[in-house]
Amino acid sequence: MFDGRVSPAAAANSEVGEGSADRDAWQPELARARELTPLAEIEAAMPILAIFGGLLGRRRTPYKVALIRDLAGHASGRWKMRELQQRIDWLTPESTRRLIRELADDDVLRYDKVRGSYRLTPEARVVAAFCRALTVNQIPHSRIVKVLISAIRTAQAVGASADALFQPFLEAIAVLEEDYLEMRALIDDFSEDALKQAVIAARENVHDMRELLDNDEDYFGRYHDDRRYLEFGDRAHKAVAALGQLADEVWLTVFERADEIMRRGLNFDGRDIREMAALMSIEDKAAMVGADLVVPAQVPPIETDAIFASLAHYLGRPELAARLPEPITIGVQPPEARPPNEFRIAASALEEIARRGGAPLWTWVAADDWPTAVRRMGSTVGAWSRYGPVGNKELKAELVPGEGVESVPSPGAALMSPMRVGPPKR
Amino acid sequence: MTIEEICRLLSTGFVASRDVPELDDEATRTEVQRRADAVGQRLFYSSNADTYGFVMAGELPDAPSHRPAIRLDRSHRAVIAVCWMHLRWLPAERARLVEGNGHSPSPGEPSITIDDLAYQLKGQMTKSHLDQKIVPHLKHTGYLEARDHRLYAGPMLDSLDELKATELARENMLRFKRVAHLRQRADEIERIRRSGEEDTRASD
Repeated sequence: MFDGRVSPAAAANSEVGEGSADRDAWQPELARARELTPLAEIEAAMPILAIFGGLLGRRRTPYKVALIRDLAGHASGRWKMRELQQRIDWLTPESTRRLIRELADDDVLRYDKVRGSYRLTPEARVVAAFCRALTVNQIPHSRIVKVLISAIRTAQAVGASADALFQPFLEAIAVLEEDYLEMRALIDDFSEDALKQAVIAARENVHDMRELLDNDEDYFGRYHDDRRYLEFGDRAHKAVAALGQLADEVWLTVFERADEIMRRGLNFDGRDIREMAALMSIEDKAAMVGADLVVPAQVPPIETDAIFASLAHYLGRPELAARLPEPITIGVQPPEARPPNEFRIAASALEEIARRGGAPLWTWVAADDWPTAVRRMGSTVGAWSRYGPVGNKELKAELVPGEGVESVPSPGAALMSPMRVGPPKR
Repeated sequence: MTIEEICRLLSTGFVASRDVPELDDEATRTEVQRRADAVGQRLFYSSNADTYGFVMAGELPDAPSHRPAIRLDRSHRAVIAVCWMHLRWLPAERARLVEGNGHSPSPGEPSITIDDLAYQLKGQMTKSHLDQKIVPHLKHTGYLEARDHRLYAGPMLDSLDELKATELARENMLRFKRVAHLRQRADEIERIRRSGEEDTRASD
């Protein structure tokens, strides 16, 4: 947008301390006499070149170009302001009026006071036509030489100087030379996909330049004795020869010879692999074996929380992982230091009593001293809980409690709750 | 050996098949495989190394704090690819060719040196990084083995998707052959172009 707002470039300039007034006041200094510079010729052409300036100036350019494109396509060459305001229906009448005035001030439109109408000057029509032709968002590389040749034709048509013909010719040669260098760089980079794109454009540019050179009489007939024609012509022929040959090789190789190699059989050795690997990018090498390489199984020390969180996520119940108890350290002891399983010992003793037909519990619990009696009583309760009817039901003995207390004739205790051990009734 | 002992061996490293003859038995192998499946692993056999081991099977679920003890990143995979081409692909292609023409295959186990690897990864990793980080990790994970200052294929090199890797390697080799031909022709064309320029300068 150019409608009065500060452009990014202007803002950037002001940031470095150069105001617009300073920029406008600045004048280039000549290093030699004016007549020895290209300025005289350009100043003479300014009436025409200024039309571009008026049209492509800094302010409201898209509006002006669109307006002129619209008028240039109209059969009638003269318009009154009212007609213009009706015709340009995508702008308000006031905006149309102001833009038309600005274009007239810049000599893009001419105002006829007698008829009270505006018209495009012949030069403005040419400028409008070029603006219209160049209203593209980009010029494909394969069309660049074509466009430059059109510029030579235009220069011929308007009777421009030799420079105006040779300049686009030189630009077209430079395009071919750049194409050649670019293609060599792509070959060195092993960039086959990019080469496919480049060779299509290069062949097009070579074709266009060949056509120009085959018909050089049409373009440069007047300048056959000009030293520049001979020099540029020779350079153009060399550029066409080099790029043409290289482009043909690339075309044949990348588009037509692939199948031929397959037919002959793909022969290679370790040296080929070495050179190929050295050229390949690390991504291409890695891609060859895929991203899903397997690794050997191990039992690595990873976080328990992460494992449980992952399991809970897999089960679709993330809340499970949130309620895990705090971890505790479990003591690990050597086998010989491990304490005996008192409950299992008690269960075995009870089962032995039951197997022999049954007896009071004190005959085993209180058979030794008091501390042993206390330990065995506790183990009996534990064995009953773990292996009895409320436990895993493996205990092959029954405990039948009695009422009150009874005297026990044993060294481990004097009195005990009466309890009889018998065979299981289940 | 019991099933548990075999599983213990295989889950902690590779073992030559001669040391686990029990795995010749179909039922034992099936049971070992079943137990490996149950913990997200699978029984892996390297035919070239005649070796068994357990490898991870399937994708890892997402766990943000998970820090895998074994990981193969792009650099590892690139080195594996280069080694695979020299140690597996080239011998296989040669064997295929000699089968066709009746010659005997070249003797000796294929191998590669660190220097050779470093040349093929030049500009992508330094030789010291390759020597001190990448190769030791690949030896640890069973992709490579080192003997007498040379690197040989480890059992895990047989775990690659051979068909896919071969297809990609052949594609790359075809491309390389085409570009190598182009380079040669480009050099010839450049020589002609330069001699033309020199002739012009001489005539001036």
